[in-house]
Amino acid sequence: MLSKQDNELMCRVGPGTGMGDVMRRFWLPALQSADLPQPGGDPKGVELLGERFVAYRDASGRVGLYAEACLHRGSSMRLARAEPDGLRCIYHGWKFAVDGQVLDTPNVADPKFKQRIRGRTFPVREAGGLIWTYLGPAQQQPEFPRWPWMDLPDAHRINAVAVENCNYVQVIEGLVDSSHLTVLHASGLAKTNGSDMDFAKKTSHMQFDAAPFIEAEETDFGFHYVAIRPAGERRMARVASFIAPCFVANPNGDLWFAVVPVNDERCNFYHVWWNAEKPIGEEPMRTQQLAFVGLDPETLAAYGMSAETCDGPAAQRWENGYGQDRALQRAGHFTGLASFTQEDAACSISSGALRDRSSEMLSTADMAISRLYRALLGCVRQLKESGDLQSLHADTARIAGVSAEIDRDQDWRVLVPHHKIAAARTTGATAA
Amino acid sequence: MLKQEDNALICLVGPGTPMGKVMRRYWHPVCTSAQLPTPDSDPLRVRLLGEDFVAFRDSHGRVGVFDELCMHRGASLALGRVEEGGLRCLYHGWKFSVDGTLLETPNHDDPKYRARMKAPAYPVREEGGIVWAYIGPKERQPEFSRYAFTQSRPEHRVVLRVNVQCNYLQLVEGGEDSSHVGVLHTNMARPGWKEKDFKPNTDLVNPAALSTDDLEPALEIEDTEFGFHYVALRETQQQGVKNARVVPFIVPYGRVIPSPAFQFTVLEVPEDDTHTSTYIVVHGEAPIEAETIIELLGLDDSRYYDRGTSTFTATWADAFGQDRQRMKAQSWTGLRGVEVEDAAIALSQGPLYDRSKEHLVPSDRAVMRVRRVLLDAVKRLDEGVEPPGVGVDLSRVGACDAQLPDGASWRALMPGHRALAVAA
Repeated sequence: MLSKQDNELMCRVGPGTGMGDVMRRFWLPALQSADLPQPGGDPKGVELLGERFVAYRDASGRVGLYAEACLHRGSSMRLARAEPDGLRCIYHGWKFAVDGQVLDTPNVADPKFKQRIRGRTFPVREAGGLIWTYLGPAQQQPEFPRWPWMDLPDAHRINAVAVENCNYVQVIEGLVDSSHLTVLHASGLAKTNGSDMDFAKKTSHMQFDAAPFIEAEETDFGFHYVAIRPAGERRMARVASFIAPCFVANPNGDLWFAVVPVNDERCNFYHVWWNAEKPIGEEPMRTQQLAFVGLDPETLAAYGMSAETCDGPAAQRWENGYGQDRALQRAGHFTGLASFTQEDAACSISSGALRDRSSEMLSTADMAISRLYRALLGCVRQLKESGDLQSLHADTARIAGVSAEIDRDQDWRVLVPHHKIAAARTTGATAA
Repeated sequence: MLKQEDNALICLVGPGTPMGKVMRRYWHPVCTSAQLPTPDSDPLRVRLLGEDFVAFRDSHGRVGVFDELCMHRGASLALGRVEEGGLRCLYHGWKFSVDGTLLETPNHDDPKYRARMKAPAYPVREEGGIVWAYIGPKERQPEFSRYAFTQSRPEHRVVLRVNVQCNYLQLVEGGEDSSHVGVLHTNMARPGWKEKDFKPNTDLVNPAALSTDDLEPALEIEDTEFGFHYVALRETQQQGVKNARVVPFIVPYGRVIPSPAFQFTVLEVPEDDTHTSTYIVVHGEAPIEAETIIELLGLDDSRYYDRGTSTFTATWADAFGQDRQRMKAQSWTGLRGVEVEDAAIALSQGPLYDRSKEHLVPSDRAVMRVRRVLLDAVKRLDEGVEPPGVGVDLSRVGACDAQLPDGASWRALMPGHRALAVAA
């Protein structure tokens, strides 16, 4: 439960907001590399943290992220002409390279003028199938983070994104909430029986225990938490990590998420699967994985969860019953929704575009949820008080999600030896 | 560049706002004559400066403009019946003549009561294919300012209305900005651009037909009694001769743009802070067809312009119809026509453009002057000084595109423009 004031502070990310300032200190995914397939192709509109930008890949393959408004008189660079070395505004023909260099200002006679000014572009890096940007103050720009999957060849990785029409915190809540899996995803988990997919093998056991033992702890990067379920004589421990401000390492160990706010009431939910041994990014493995969780293009379009369809009639909303198929449900499916992604989204979106947390009733099973609120609000406070954020300094390459069997009296923390745990902030309980 | 306070000061036009007070000293178009085509035709809802009105044409062809809501109990008169010399409210049948006289009050049939009352009707003129109204303070009602086009023969004139969903000022600025013509309207201004070979556009109607490909015009400005006029001077192929395009800014939102054989008078009338009705009136000395102008402006496609409601309907949903395949082949913008390009640019600046982050250059001088004239008008009205150009005769105000030998004065090109004495 949060006061209205704290809820606003945690959820709103526009320019000048507390959480917006926090977000703007991190490198964030702005879009997927696949969204700008061609050198010199069409520029693309991108909304991020409530601001609008235009992304463009020049003829040499470099990506630029431009503020939407032209430097000169503010017409949209989304209408600009894509030329080999930069974007040219169609209004007066000013041309900008991806790094902000001003290449041409046809209506200014002075040849030195263009050397004195600089276009409004933002730092961009391309890694792991994602195009990342940093929107914060230039003098505070942090080092570009390395994640374990970034150095693998494209064939060993699957990238996918779903657009959800709700505040980003609601989506992250679902990612640090082990106890809903057994219930909401009952039908999906049932399909894991006998499946050969790694994903299926790693999640199958969750069908049978809706009240795992849960423990959460503050770490330098945010927090990690464990859900422990009995496994015969031993115990199955699933550890998930939340990395501020909006990243999650899933316990499966090969799945990473970023939940990036598009604006206060919409977010991009990025998924990365990776496997150093197997080329999972190749067919048929890629489509098999995506279809299993409802991230294949057809299912995303059917629920209005792609950039092209998220404003359309299919987008999950009150008016269309969130896309639920009651006939399918009567026929035995638990939810009547296509798969994991649509089930999670229906719960996130149906609680409101920016849900009110002043009247919820959290239980011990929601320990990681309250920990999430504390971690996010802690970031806002930390930045205000110290001008810095602890999680900016965490070594992202060593942050893990883990799922493994442990002995009855073994400490689950042996699974995450590299995590720096904050002192005396541990909380734990068994969900009733 | 403008501070956000100053930007709000000249962009916001609702009742009680400083710019709203300035605007209310002028006569404004409320609809085209064609929107009220025949006696007793359907009444029309119109929005002007953030207020709602109803316009109608009575059985005798006279036009009335009222507050939208009936004076009795506030039902919309746009639902009313237009008949037998007046407009009748559907609710209780009160009936009004164009000047606001109460003709009938069936539920209180007392002639003395009717004689004491008058409906909120505004002074109306119908001139040049446009219905004009004055909604400002009664005691300040100025002379009707007659534009040149009001005197042309109807078959030599085309009147169009285009409703655009953004603030009026960004549309005005596009019109006082000669340097964009050779860029945004490249295909019409410089038809040989693709081959880097300048060929003048031979279309006598097109206002974007430049006679030179100089993209860096030098601007000079002079204050006049109606606002100001400015010239864009471009180099030509001929030594010692410049091309001079003179364009007036008529306070608060008017301009005239020259085409080789016609004048385009453009009025950016604010419906409210984020909606503008652009009136485009083309006139000249020869017959001209509406279809020609509609095609030239790019409005001949129902996906972008709804002729029934005079509304520009293109949005970001389809990137204003921008065709990136055509951009690679032969079209500079991938958009269609002069007005579609201008409107798409203005809409792309947002519903109400924030001027605190831009970077102006010398070729934006006329844009800066527009802002200064409007800011001055706002500040001076607050000190009790009447706004510039109120009630001024505009019948000799126009634009020209002429070749000017070095040493000749561009000011002499427009003898009908009365310059203001330059302060010492």
